[in-house]
Amino acid sequence: MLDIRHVTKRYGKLVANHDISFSVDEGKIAILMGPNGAGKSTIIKCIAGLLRFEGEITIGGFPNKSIEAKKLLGYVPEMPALYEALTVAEHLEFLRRAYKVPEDKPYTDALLERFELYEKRDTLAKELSKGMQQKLSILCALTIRPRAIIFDEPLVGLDPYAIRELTKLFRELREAGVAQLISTHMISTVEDYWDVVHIMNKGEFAATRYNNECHEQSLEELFFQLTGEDGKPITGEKEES
Amino acid sequence: MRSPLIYLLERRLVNNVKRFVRSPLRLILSLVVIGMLFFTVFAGNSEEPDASELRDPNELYAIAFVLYSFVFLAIANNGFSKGATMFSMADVNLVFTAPFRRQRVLFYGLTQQLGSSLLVGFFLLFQYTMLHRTYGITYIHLVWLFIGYSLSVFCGQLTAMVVYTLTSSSEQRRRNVKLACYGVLGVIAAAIILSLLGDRATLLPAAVNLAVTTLAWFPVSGWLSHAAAGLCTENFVAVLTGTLGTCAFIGLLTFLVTRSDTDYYEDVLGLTETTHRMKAAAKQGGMSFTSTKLYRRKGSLKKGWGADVLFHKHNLENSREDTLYLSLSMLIFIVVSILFSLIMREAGIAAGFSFAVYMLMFAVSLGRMPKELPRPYIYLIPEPPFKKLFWSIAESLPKLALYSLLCFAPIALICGLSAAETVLCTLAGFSFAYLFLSGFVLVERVFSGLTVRALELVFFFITMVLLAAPGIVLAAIFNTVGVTILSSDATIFLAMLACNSLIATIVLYLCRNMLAYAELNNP
Repeated sequence: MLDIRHVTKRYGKLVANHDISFSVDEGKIAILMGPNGAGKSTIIKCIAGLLRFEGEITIGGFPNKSIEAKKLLGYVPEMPALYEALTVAEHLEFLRRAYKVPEDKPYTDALLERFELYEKRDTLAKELSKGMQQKLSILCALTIRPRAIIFDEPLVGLDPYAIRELTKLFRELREAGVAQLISTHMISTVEDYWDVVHIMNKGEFAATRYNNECHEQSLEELFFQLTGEDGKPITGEKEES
Repeated sequence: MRSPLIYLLERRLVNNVKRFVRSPLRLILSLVVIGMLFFTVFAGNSEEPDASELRDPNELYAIAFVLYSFVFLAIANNGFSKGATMFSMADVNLVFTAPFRRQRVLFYGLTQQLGSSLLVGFFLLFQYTMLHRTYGITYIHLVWLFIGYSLSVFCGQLTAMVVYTLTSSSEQRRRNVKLACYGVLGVIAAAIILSLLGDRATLLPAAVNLAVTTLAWFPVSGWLSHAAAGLCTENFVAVLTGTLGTCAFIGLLTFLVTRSDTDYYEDVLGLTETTHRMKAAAKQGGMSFTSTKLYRRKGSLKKGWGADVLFHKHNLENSREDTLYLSLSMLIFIVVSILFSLIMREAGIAAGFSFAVYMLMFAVSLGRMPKELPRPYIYLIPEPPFKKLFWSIAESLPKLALYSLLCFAPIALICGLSAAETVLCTLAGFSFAYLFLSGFVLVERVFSGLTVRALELVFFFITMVLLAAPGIVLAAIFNTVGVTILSSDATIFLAMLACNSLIATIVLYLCRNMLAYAELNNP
């Protein structure tokens, strides 16, 4: 569903992503991990079609900038980007209309109920707490019923209940055949449901690990071995990506 | 040992200067600005105006009074809502918590605020040519007008802070003070109107006379414009009293804050935090909400399918933010343009129309479109970029049409144009609005990646001048060659209308792919 081939992203002389290749199939969860500045958000923004890049990215077989690809993709940005003068319900209505998705009130209401926003559906986004804004940002991506979805640090700012609901949702979306790419720092929260983990460092994949393989090290141990406390790889090891 | 607060101010100043010198973009900007300033002075002084053709300088000081009053009162009015802050978040976290006396911290805040207020009125310095040739003022007079403007901004902010500090603890007190202030201003406004009602034939000279005599007693704006007028007429008593009055006002307000029981730290904290969040979010490419008051109104998003939902969403958002269809600044620009054409009626339609077009450059905005650009949705919506671009600026078009009607039609009538010429004048005005709107899109498309906002502003003005030039040149050629349709004025308006519309459409078409990548708009 998500296919990223030899993507390089430069900001002037700085190479933020270097020759990144990976794919996320339908019903799979791929995790992007790495220290700050590793290039996770950059590759995510490239996939979402927000940045220019060298290489090729397709979504459902369509180039990621095409209208067909955009229809398939949901994107949860790192920081909620909401409209202060719209209510919670109006955000979902706006995106439903913009993406030309048929009305499905039970589905929308269920999403709102699930993330405890139903009672707040007539509240302006400006009046929501930070955590609630993050929940609404997630619902904005879900309301268009995407076939692939990218979460950039989705757990930041959420309360324990919302974290539990979101992790349950990841599993449900997997069962529904949605391809998911999740960037996170919270290693412990992804231990249970990942299919593949890509550890990034300095704009490259330092390692790729599949869940169906046996490993001696935990994800956390591997992460610190590869990135080190100062963000520099301690070993020269670079697993095949 | 030197005071840590003086050390802090000094280091920040020095480091800012270093940062400026080390940045090629900022150096280019400073060279461009200095060059433009020299050009303005050179152009202004290249031809000495005929003393007999000069207008009464009191007109200028009456205009200064209106400008200072507007700035001072508009900023001071914030004291009844959100207050004002002279501090950064770093000040709150590091200076407020340090063992300094509150008075010293306030002086520190005032000093840095005075510095930033000086930058606000910089645009006035570029008006030299026009003011020198119209009123015969020298550069010293202009610098004084500039200082007066900066001090009006500073006093407005200080007043807002004092009003907020003294009234924030009691809603009743705030209402009473607000009522008293509005009442006094209402009485003054009524007195002005009544005194001007007597003789309509000499309305303008009477208003000018009132502004430079009786209203010279009005706090801050009256004193400062009086001092500026005194400098022009070499009445140094007026200069001294105006300056001393303002200094005493600043001293009194500072005294009130330091002597009040309320803790101004808490009062400035909320606004400082909001400002900091907005700046931080803008730097990180994220979003933060403004402190704009939103009005709960009926209506919801029930129209739009695909890209045009942006248009309906913008209208809904506007209805919740603004109480007026045209913004207050737009209405002010209309009034100022009409007043200018009244003053310059003898100079014909060219003077009034040119000034109104100049003001239009500040009145035109892309509406909510720039607010869409830092958010991801406009890029993610699965619609063609040109369609999204059009619908994201569509909300501005009816507003600009109304603005043109309210601004250019009265100017045409004041200058005695016929009905047909008035219609063409209004349409030509609208064509400039459309042209500037496309210019805004072009600037967003080409220059939004610049990290120096001031440089972006310079390129904005250059772009607008370049875009407007072909229409003006075509009109001048038609006028010179003698091509006439209806009348010479009508021909000029038609030429500008056709040329501007064509150029604006071409520009929009060429910018159609600006919504293909967020990167183009978010540095």
